Amino acid sequence: MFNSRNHCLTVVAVVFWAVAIGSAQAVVTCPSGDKAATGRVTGPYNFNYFGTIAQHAGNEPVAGTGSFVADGKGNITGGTFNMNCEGFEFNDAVTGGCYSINQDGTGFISLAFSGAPCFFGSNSEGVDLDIIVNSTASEISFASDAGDRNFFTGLEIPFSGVASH
Amino acid sequence: MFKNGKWLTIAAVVFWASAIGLAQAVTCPPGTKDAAPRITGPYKFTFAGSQYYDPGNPVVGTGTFISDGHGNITRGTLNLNCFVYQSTVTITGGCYSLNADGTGFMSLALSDYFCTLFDLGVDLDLAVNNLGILFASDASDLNFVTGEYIPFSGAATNQ
Repeated sequence: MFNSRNHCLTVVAVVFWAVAIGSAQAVVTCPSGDKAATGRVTGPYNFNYFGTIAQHAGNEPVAGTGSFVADGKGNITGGTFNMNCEGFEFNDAVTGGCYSINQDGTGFISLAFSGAPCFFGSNSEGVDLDIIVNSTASEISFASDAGDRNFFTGLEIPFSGVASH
Repeated sequence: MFKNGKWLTIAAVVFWASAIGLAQAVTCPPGTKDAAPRITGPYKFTFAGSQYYDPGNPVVGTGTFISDGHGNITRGTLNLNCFVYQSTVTITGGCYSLNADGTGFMSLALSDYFCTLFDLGVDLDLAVNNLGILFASDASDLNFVTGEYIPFSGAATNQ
């Protein structure tokens, strides 16, 4: 009886732990940037983009839309990421991320996804973006970054787009 | 005599339907009811993309559509430079829905085939913000398969 009860408690604990870590956001890092400039980017942004898969001689275009929410402190708290890729539609949640802005308005955003778009592997469950923020932070132009800081997506799919409140 | 009249009526209805280009019935996800009025009135748009299966086949275009603010597209036009062939088709109807965060979905029914090859309409993913309606072709084939073959993106603004 004790063993059975103990076993059940262990199973419950393992399930609880698995659920808990399953909802955890991917650990991502961003360059330090400028604190005041980073603070200007806050609230919800929606975007679209267009690009192509790098390894396929430019004959596999991708396009999509999405959203993210910035907290003004360098953290992305949520959003969505849609991609039309190779004739398939991918709809992922943005589970977290980070961003940093420099004094000149350039910067970096990393978005963590709930899955990998376009059939790529776990290293592509997100995307790193180089960004340029306008003077009022109402618009963010972006292009996928191939530096593989957090995710490989930018190496596999060069794309660019624009986000705005 | 009555039978002849019946056939004449049927013929007249068929002729009328083909003449006005009856819109294909389309469906959109429910979205958030209060968000739909964010898209109201006449819009103009441009877009650019490329055919998926045939490298080097670019697609660019312009167009207009009118939204009723209740999830319906009433009419519009679509000018296509498709694989360097120019055509103009009529947007005969459609639907759209928005979520609370400004993302959404739109389906446009056309009077003729998109790029003469694919389908009588196109499904779009939306992102509505201060720039207007940003969109990209959707490949989930809810109503039309065009997005599966031609990924493209663009922006629409109020006229």
